[in-house]
Amino acid sequence: MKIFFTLFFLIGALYADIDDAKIVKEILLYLKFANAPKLFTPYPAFKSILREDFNVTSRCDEADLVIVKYPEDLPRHCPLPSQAVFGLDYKLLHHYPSAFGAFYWKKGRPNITLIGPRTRRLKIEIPDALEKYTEDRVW
Amino acid sequence: MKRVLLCAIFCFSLLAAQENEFEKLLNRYANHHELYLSTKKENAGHVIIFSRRDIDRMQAYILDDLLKTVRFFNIKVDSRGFAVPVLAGASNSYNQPIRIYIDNYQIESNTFGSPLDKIGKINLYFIDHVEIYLLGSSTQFGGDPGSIVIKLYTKKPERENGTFLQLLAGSDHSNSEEILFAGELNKDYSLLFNATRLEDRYDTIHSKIGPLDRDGKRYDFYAKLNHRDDFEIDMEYIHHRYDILKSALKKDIRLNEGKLENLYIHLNKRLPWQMMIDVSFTNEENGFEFLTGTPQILSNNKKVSSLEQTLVTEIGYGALTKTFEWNKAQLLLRAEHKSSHLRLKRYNGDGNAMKHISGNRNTIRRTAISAHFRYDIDDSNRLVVGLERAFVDLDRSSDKTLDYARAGYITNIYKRFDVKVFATHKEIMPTSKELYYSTVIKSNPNLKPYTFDTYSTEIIYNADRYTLEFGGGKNFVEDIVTTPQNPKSKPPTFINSGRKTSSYKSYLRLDYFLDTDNKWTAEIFKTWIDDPTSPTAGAYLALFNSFGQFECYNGLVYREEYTDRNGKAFDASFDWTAAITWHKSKHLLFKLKGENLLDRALESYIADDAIATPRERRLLIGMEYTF
Repeated sequence: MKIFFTLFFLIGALYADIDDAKIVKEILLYLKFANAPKLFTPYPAFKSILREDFNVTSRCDEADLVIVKYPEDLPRHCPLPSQAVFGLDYKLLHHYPSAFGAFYWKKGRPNITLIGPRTRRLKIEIPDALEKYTEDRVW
Repeated sequence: MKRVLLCAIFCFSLLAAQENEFEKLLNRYANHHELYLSTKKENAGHVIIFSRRDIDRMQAYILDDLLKTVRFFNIKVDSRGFAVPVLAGASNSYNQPIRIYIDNYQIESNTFGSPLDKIGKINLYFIDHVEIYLLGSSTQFGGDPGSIVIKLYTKKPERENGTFLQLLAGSDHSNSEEILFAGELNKDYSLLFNATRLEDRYDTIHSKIGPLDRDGKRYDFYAKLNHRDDFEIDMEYIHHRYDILKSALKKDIRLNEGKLENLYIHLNKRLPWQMMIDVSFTNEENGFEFLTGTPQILSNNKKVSSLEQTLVTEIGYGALTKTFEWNKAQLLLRAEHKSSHLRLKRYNGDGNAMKHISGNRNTIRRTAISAHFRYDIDDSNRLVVGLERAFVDLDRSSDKTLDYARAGYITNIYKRFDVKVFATHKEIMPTSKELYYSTVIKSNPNLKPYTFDTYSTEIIYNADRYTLEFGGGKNFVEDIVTTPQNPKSKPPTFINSGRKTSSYKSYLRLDYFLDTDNKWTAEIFKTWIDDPTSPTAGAYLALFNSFGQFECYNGLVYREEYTDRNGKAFDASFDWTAAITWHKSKHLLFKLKGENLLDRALESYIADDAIATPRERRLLIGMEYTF
């Protein structure tokens, strides 16, 4: 029982200050990519967190995976939708056919959605821990 | 019973423990980003917070669903049939300086006297969370000084992102439909819109004087447009028709209906240099018509069998706030002005226009300047001081100066204990209802402001899995506005009591967190007051559980036996509410709620032989669809 409590508090301390970038990083760490992806995001707060575990590029056209909330935040030359997109808004799943997942707020709660057919097409494997967030289509 | 309860808690804990690490992380993220964490004013002290998740799990649809669980509050039915929150020991809601805000807008009601009396029950469907400051400070929130400040914070459109439809039906034939749209219109603008239709039904109470009804129908529209970090415009329109309980004095009654129309519009604009302006306008029209079998004496000494009355309130408010920030200190300065006008639009007795006799003090202009200063002496010690001076002008015939002062000291000991000590002095102006016009009690234009002095302490022990709070305080009230206990004349007149009374309060509360999804709360309180006319002691026990697709709430509110103003005794009450929510899919959830399940909620007399509870025993079934 003591071990349970200790673990509980350790996890609590580890994520005492959790922000959006940390959650997105956790999701990407759970996912299994065929090759280590090169990431691009226009948001400085995300860049610094993602750099801890991923190769982050400052050039959108070099990236394999783009993390974005508003399409207008991307540089004009960015050749989307050829790259995989992870959205910070559910609407991006409609906007980009290559958007395979999103982390967003809905009904006052944080939500995650991964689109099964798109992840398979992009050769991204979804682990058991994230299976419950997988859907077959965009609503 | 105890074993069953313990087993249930244990089972819920086990079920919750089956979540994987990622879900736990997501839950922690959600808890860490609850909006109340960014809005609650810790240094205000004595605060009770109902988070978004608490409100959802409690299936609280109106503010009274929350207030009935709050210490030092009783929800009683008054002679009009309204379920009104009154302070422990008090008989009615007069003289309770309780202030209610929706975001930065202060809800006003001159026609009822207290915003809590407003029968358009405050709807929570567009509300994210509620903070109740039991020792509230006007210098922090603006508006009139209040002993208790209730802050309702609306849902953030960027966190809702959708259109939601909620349908509810009750075993008492009550029903409601609500639609909410909340989302970002583009990168800069967001919109929150809520429309509600509610049909509120109660059992007809049969008494010697005839059947008594208190049903009502309400339409409520709320909209808020937000421009990121720039401005917010919010407005609400309420149309409410309701039966007036005590007017149903005869079987051949023609009409016993009241009608409330309320509209407000509010602008909050953020300016450079940490400045902010608030401007609002409120219009409330409250009318009723009835015909009685027994003629009644009104406040103008006329004895009538039928009365038609419409009261109109117009309130304009403006405030400019400037915040200064230093390394260890913060100073908030505010200048505000409020003009409040009450008039009788229609006043007919037995079909003839009547005059009322309370003079012309129907406009109150209040100009106030206030300062709220916070100084962090070091990491563990904080000093808080609030000062306000208000200049009140009663129809340009009499000026009054009202002062407000509050000082607090907050310290943290051994990182586990928070100790908060507060002293407050406030002078409160009588309401328009007391100064200008009231239906059956004669108003008094010569009423003086009355004073409230409060000294209180709160000790909070923060353990890893639980929080234990103990608090208490003493109130002194001088010259409060009241009506004589045995009036020599009829109708009775509002008077200043001419005496100083005191009361003591104390409470103990434990919040125990089994994990991020499961918690329980236990609380007891006691008020010591002379001649109490409602329960002075009570307790609250609540269990919040989540397992799989289900979320549960069980809440038991206890209030001790009491004797009312007319000497009638009532047994102790046990108001048990149980609610279960089934999240069937991302788009659909079902709700089931039982209210007053033991059929022993707090009772009060509404006629010589008729007793009513705020809500009769009922089941509510509902669904919510997310588009």
